[in-house]
Amino acid sequence: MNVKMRHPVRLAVAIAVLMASFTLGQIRSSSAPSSNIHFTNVDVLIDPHGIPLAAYQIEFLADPARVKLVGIEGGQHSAFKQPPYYDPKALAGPGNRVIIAALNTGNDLPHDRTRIARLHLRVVGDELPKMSARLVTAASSNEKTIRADVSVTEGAAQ
Amino acid sequence: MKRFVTLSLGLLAVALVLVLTTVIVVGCSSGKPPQESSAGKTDRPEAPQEIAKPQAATADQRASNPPPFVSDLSPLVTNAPTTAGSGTDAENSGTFLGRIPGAAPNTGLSITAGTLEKSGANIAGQTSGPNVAEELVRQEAIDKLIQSGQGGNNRGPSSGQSLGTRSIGGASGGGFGGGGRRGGGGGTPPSATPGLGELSRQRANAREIRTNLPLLTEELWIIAKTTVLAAPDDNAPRSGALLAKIANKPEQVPVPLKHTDVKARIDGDIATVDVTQQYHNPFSEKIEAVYVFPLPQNAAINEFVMTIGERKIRGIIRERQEAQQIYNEARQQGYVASLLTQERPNIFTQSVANIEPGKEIDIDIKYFHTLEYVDGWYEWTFPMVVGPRFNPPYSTDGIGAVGLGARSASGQSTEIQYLRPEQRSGHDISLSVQVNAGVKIEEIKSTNHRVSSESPELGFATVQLDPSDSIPNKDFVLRYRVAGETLKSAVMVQRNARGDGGYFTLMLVPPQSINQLPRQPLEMVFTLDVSGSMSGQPIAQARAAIRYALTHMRPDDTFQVVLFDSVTRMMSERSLPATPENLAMALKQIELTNAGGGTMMLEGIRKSLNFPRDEANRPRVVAFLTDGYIGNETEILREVHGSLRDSRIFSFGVGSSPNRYLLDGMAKMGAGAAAYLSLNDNAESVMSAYFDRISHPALTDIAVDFGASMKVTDVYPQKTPDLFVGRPIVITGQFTGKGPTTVHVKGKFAGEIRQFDIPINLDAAESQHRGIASVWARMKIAALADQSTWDDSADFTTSIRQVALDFDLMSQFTSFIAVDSSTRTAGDHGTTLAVPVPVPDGVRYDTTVQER
Repeated sequence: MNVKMRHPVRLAVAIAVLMASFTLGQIRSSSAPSSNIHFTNVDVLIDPHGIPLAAYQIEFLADPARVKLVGIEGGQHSAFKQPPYYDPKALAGPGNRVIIAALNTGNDLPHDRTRIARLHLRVVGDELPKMSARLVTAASSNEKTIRADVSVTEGAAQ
Repeated sequence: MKRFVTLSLGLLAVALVLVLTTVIVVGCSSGKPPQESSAGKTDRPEAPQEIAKPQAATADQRASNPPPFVSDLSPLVTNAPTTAGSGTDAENSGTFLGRIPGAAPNTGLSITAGTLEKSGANIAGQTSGPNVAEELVRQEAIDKLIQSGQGGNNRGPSSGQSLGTRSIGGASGGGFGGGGRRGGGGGTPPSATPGLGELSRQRANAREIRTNLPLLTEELWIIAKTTVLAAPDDNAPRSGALLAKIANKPEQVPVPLKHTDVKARIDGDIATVDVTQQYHNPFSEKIEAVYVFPLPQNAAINEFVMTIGERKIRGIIRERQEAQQIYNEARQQGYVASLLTQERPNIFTQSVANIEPGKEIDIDIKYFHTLEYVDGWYEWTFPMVVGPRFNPPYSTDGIGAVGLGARSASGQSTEIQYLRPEQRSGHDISLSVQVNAGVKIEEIKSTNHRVSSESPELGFATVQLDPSDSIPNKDFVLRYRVAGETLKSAVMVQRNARGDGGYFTLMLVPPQSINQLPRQPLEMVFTLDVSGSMSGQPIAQARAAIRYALTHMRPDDTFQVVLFDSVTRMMSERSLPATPENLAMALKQIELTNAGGGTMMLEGIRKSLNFPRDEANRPRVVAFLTDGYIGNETEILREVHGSLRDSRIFSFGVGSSPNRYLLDGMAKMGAGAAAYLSLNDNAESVMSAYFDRISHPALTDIAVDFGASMKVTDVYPQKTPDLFVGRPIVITGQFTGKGPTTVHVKGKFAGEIRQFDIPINLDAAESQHRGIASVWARMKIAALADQSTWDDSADFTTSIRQVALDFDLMSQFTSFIAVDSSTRTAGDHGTTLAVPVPVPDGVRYDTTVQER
């Protein structure tokens, strides 16, 4: 009698344990970052509106908890083909800020919208997080600050 | 019953609540990320925008909402306005003079012509001072000042007794009969083909072999055929590593490292070095290449670029574990990736993942370092191979030396595979050095290599490694002497963007007066490494050096001879008077000494420093002769620090590729100086210079006063080392100040206080160099690392890591990582292949390398 009466209890305990296991498993797997890591790249473009672009400095904005910079590639135009430099202190500091800059002292400079860098990124999560870039400064070859637009697009595969 | 049902229902209800909670939690954590992270709220002036929706941030907008760090631009008005303004050089070079107006109206950033390169300084940011563009501009100006007319575009024992992990063969003899010498264990080395057989047999037994293969994450060693780029063969093992044996010719071992190119430029006492490693995949399947290689121990490595075809990807400095994790993930997912880690200050590991068959990948590494100045000669060194290290039996974090394919045989965390004497790899090296001495170069020579050199103009020289001497199996050592009888102390400066200060290095040259007083009687200890790696030419050189020393002692000196390999033996319990009889006995023993056995250096150090002093308590001076081929450097340095007391250690690096990190470290900790005795050096000359050095009292207890117009902080080394004849020292620090000033140096010399003055000019064009901040940071890291060997009271790890991250520098706690996310290669990550290297010139394979 007692045995029979215990069966529902056992069943309930078993279900509870299974559900609890399921619950814990879900929480654990959702917090494991390595399960949904992927790599991608974004292009940073500057449009100097017809004025030769000789130098720029931009800040790339993305959630540092999800996006890590893992490489910087140069741009399309020969003037900015070399990968730009980044600020290590900003990257190592609070917010892991990504600040890049380049300068070209030559005469062959881009006038129109051009990719000035491709950023290689490690991303946590399946979806691409929000990313943007902020122009800090851009200059022409004649010492002038120039108005320029900066944008970020998803990079193309090679 | 009712109670049980109630209880059951209750438990089910609890379970249901748990499920609902799960759904809520999972929903929150795995869904889209929060609109803004807390970090984003704190640190970002504006919310990120959606990708692929170009969001303009125009200069106008910026002007109305200026980025906080722009204020750092304002004070710049770069320190090179006169040069920029003069315009002549820039115009001549065909580049432009311009100004980058920052957001602040009076920024006054100037662009001058020149080569755009990375500065070693911090280059931007709200919290970090000047911004990137500003620094680049400033460097342009400095370049222009230094290099007129160079305008350009942006480029932008297991044998015998088991005493260690090195396999030791051959007998040794002589040496005070103290005992315990190991012999044997050598004999005929095992075959270089470790067991998988020939290709045909592989194919026939492919299935069976595959089941015996290591995991894919491990290195495979497969014997294959003579042609490269073997066609993919599903029946063949996954590796594809090749071995070829052609009769009467060295066995050709294809390796994933094809070529190393080194380009160095020396300005004053600072060298800027670009190293390009050209990796390729001559195999039929995807590979990961792993290369353990040396660089100078004081190299401030601050640039790392991976080149794939025409594309260049700049590597990012990251905490070591983080970089390793990123590399592993990229490798696992099929992306081309590269990782540079530091195993010792002079040993690095380069890993390149997912190199597809037939593809090439270049790795460019750039570093700065200070030159040595030794007995009238500047000395620039580029190490080409890591010598085979001996590791004590208790060690697991040493540097293992194993034969080709004997992966993990050493049990050490880092391992190097060595080619057998009859094997060659296709890896070769090219090297060129440009010397800008500033004054006439009287003489220039290469110690170990054939070179060609030319001097196009006064003070300049170009040196090129002869292509016939391109096997990377010995240190490249370039020595040159400049005009003038005496070297003058000199300062090098890298100004910060604000122009009110920056970083400096100061070479302190001993005053002539310290040559005038003779030395007092000394207790001279000659400690000689007679382990297996010293066998052959190295021990012959060391014997010649000690022979000279023993025959040039003074009658009032005492002396001791200590020999160590697996055990340590001393000539006598105490030092003996330098009588002809005692010296003759010592000479005889030295001549009878052969090398063999392990390198239990720790005991050699202990005995040398701790045996009882002679009766007159003369100052003890230890001449320590070794190749430094051990993997427990930290332990040795800790012992030196702990046992030194008032002794001094003068280390002598013997051979073609000595462990300069250890030898310099011993001398630094040992309050002495290091010297190097290559196989081609005259041992008597080197020992003569040593006698000259110890024949005069050193300037001790040195204090440097930089004067009122130059405020100095963060000086390294923190305690200025003693100054010896012929051996200047370099100190570095941060400063504020301008223009000419006088540095006052005070110290004790033979019991008396002496002072000498050094006039310097912080603004002199020839004193500017873009690498000084990096050199400063590297010296700070070295000082912290040195202290960490004996001081457990502080968290040096955090300090070192932070300096390295801030200055974009390699360190033991930081690594460079570069991932090409553009292309994902097919399949798994491929087979890991180590780049095998030759043993250094003059070193015997059979006495140093463990084959299984």
